Amino acid sequence: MQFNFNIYSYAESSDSHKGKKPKLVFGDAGWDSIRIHNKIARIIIEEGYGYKTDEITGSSPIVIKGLRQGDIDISMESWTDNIADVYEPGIEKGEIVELSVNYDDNAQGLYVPTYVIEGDSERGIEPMAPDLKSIKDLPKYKEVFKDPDNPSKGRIYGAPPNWFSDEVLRTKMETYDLNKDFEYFNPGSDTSLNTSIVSAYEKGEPWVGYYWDPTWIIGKYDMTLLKDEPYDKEKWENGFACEFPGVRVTIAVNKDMLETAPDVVEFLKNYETTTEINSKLLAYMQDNDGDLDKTVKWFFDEYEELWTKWVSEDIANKVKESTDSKGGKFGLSFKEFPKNFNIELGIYVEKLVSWLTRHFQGFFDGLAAIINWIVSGIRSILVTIPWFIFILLIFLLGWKMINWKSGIIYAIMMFLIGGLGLWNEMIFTLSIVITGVLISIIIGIPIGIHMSYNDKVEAFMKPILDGAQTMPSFVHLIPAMIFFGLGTVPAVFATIIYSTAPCIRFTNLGIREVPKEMKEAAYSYGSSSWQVLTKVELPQAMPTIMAGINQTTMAAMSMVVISSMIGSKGLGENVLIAINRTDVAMGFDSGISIVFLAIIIDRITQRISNEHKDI
Amino acid sequence: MTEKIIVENLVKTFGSRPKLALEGLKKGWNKKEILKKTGQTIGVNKVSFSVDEGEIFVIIGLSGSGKSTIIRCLNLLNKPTSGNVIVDGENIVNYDKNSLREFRQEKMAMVFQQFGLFTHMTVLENVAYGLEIKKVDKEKREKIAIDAIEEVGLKGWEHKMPNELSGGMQQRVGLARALANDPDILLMDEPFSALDPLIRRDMQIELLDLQSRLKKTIVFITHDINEAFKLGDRVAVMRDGSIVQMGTPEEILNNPSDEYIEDFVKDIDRTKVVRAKDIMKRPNAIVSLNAGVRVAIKEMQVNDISSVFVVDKNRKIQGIVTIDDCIESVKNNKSSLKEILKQDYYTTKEDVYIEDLIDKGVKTKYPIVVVDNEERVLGIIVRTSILTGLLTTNGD
Repeated sequence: MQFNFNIYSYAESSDSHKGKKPKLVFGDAGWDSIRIHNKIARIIIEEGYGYKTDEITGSSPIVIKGLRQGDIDISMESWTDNIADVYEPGIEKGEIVELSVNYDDNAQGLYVPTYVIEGDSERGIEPMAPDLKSIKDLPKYKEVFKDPDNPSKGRIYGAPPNWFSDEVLRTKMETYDLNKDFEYFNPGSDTSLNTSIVSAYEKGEPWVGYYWDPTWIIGKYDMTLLKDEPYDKEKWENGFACEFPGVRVTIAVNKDMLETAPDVVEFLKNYETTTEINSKLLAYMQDNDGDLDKTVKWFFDEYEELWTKWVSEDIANKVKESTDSKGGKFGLSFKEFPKNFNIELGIYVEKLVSWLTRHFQGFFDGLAAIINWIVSGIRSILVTIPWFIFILLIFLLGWKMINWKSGIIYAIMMFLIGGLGLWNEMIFTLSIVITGVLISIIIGIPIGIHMSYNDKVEAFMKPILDGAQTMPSFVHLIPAMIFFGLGTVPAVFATIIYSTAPCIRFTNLGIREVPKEMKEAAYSYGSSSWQVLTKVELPQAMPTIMAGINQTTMAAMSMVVISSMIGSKGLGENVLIAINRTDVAMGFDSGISIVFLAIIIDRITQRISNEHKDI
Repeated sequence: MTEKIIVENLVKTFGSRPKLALEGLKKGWNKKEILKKTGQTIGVNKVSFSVDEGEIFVIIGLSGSGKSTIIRCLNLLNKPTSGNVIVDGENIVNYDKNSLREFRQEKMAMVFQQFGLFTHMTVLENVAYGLEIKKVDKEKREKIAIDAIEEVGLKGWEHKMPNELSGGMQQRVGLARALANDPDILLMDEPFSALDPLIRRDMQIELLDLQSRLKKTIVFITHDINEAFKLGDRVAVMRDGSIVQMGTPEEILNNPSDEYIEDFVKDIDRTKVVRAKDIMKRPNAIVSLNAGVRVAIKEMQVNDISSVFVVDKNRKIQGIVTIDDCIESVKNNKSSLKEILKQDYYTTKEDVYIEDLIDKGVKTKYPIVVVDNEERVLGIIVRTSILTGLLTTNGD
C-alpha cells in the first residue's frame, strides 16, 4: 500500500516539479547493436517509467555532438576510443555524463573473410592466402588484395573517417611498414565499409580491412581477425604496435538528464551487457530477417534474469506486463500498420543483384576497366595542364561563350578553389564529372531516340527514368558498390545511372517535338530514316537535347559529391570528412569550391543550349 | 490523255488490328459501326480514281473526311491497308524501302499545309534538300535551287532562315523545294489554307501560271470549295472516307449528286466558277467582211438584233456594225462594211470567269465576243446572260 502510493506520488511530484516528463531522445548511430539497445532501453523507459522517447539517426560522431548539445539525450553505445576527440571534451566540459559501461570485451582490427585463408569447397573457392595469420603476413599477399585504383599495391579498407581506429590504423600502417605494399583506403562511411565486405563476400573475392565486433557482419559472415602483438600499453603508445584493446562501450547521457529524468539515470547506471550477449542478439536478428521487435522481445524473454536486475521489481513487472500482453507493444494496433504483414520487395532486388554479380563478374570487371581507363585518361590530361593555363582556358571559355565579365568571374572562382588548397580535388571531381557526362550522353541519346520512335519503349522507360531521378541519390550507390566495390569506378557508375535519365528524357522530348510535317517533308523527298534523324530530327531537337545535357551535367556534379561516401576522391570527400568532424571551416571551403565549379559548368553548358535555340 | 495515277479500291484504317476493320468493310458496315464494333478507324474507304497526266486533280472535303490520308497514300507516307496505287503503270504499294526511296526522289514532291520547312536550314538549303538526298553535288544542286527560288519570286532571299519569311513566302519556299526536284507529280496538301485570303488568291493565280508552263500532274487537297473549283480540272468531293462525287467543277455545280454536295456547293461564289465558255451563245449572226452592208442588214433582220460582228474569212474578228450605220450607208449608196466598222466592243477568252467579265458587261454597248488565241470568234455573251449566268449556266 505504502509502496504503491509512493510510486504514484513520485510520479505526481515529478510532474508538478518539472511540468511534463520530457521526451527522451536516443541517438542511433546506424548499426544494429545500438538499435537493439535503444529499443530495449526505450521499452523499459516508456513502459516502466512513463517517459516518451524518440530516436535520431546520425553517424557516431554526430550522435555524440548531438549529445553534447542536448539534441540527443542518451547514447547507448558510445565507442569511446573511436570518437575520442568529440567524446572526451564533452566529458571534460561536463556536457555529457558517462553512466555505465555497456560492455568492453569486444574486438576490432583487420579482418579477412575466412575463405581467403582456408578456401571454401562448397562455393569452389581455393585458398588465396593460406599462410595468412597475422597482420605481418600481409605484404606476402599484396597481389591478392590488389587495389583497382592503384594495381601496384594492395588495398586495406580502413576505418570510417574520424573514427579513432582510423588514426590507429594509419599509424599502424607506418609502424609495420605496410604503406609500401598497401594503399590505405578510406571507405567514406561505415555503411559503405559494410557494403564492400558484403560485395566481396558474395563474389568470393579477397578482402582485407578494418572491422569490429559485435556486428551482424561478424555474426553472418565467417570472418577471421588477423593476429597482432598482444595488447601492451607501451607498444600501444608507440605507434599502436599491438592489437586493439577492448574498447569501452559506454552509456552516456546529456548532463540535463540528471535533472530532468533522475529515475532513468538510475536505471541506465545499472545497464550492462557483454559482447557475447550482443553477438547472440545480432545473430538472432540476422536469422529473423532483421526484425528488431522480435529480437528485443526475445531478449526480454531470454535474459529476464539480467535485465530485471537493472530496475526495481515494480518497474520490471510493468515492463513484463506490457511485453507479454497481446495488446501491448507487440500487439495489433490500428494506429500502426500491422507488423506481421510484410512485403519484402527489397529481398528480390538483392537476390537479382547478387545473381548478377555472380554470373556477370567478367562483364563488370571489363566495364570497370573501361570506366577506369576513361577517368584516368581524362584526369591525366587535366593534370598535365598547368594551373595558370587551366584558369586562362576557363577565362577564354567564359569570354567566348558568354562575355568577358563572366570569363573574369570564372577565372577568379577557379583561382579561389586553388587558393583554398583544393585544386587537385577539383581536378579529380571534374574528371569524374566529365567521364560521367560523356558516358551518359553516349548511352542517353540513342536510348532517347529509340524511346521517341516507339511508344511502347517510352511507356516502359518512363517509370524507370522517374525512378532513377526521384530515388534518393544515395540509393544508387548501393548497386554501384556491389558491382564495383568502393572507389572511383562505382562513383562514376552511380553518377551515370543518376545523370543519364535527364539526357534520355530530353532527347526523347526533343525528337517528339519535331513537327510531324517536317518529318513527313523529309521522308517525302526520299530520305532514309538515318537521313531524317541526322539531317532533321537531331538538329531540330538540339536545343532541347542541350538543355538535357545541362541537367545531366548538374546531376553528375551533385552525384559526384554524394559518391564520396563510397570512397570517390575529390571535393566530395572533403565535404564528407567535414560533416563527420562537424568542421565548419573545412565544410565551407570544400562546399564553396563545389558551388564555384557547379556555377561554371552550369553557365557554360546552359549557354551552349541557348545558342542552339537561336536556329 | 494518259492516266498518270490510278488508285484502285484504296482502304486505309487506323488502329492496331486492320484485319478486323477490313472484315467489317466486307460485311458492309459503315465507318461508325466499325469504330464501335472493332475499335478501328476507317480513314479511307474503298476509294478509286485516276489522275490524268498534266491535270490538276482536286480532292475536297471537310476535316476528317480522309483527304489528307489519301494524298499520303500516294507517296506511302501512309501505307494503304489494302488496294492499289499505280503510278506510271507500276503498283507502288509493295515497293521495298529502296524502291520507295527512289520513287519519292524521282517521281513526286509534296507541299504541306504548314509548309514543312526545315527551320534549322536556310531557304537555299531547304530548296536543295531533295537534291541533297539524291546526292546531287553541292554546286549543281545550289544552282538548280537558286533557279527554283527565282521561279517562285524569292530571288535574294536564299540565305534567310525560314522563320524570317512571311507565311506566303514560306509556302513559296515549299513550292520551290518541290519544283527543284523536277518531279512529274506534285502533291499539295492544303498548301494555301494557312495563308490569308489575299495572299491565297495570288498564290492560286501563280500556281495556275506555273502549271500552264510546267504541265505537272498535280493532286491538290483543299477544304475550300472556291479554291477547288478555281484550280481543279476535275474535283473529287470526299465524305467519311469515300468519294461522293467526281467530275469537272461545272458538272458538280450543275448536277450535285446528293444533298450533301448541294449543301457543299451552296456557298460557292458562282462568278468564280462559271466561265465565259459556259454562258456564251453560238454566234449565229455574223457577217463576213466582204459581204457588204445589205447582207449585214438582212442578218440583223433575221436574228432580230441591232448590231452584228464582222469577221474575215478565217473567222477572225474585225469589228462590229450597227443597224443605224448600215441603213445610213445604203442611203448614201455605199456597200462596204469596212468604213462603218466600230471597234468599241470587248473581247474575252473562253476560260475567263464571270467574275472578271462583270466590269466589261457593265460598260459595253454590245455583246462581249469570246475569241480564241487567234482572235477567231467562238461565241458571244449578251449582257443579260452575265447576270443570269450567276444563277444557272448554259442558259440555252
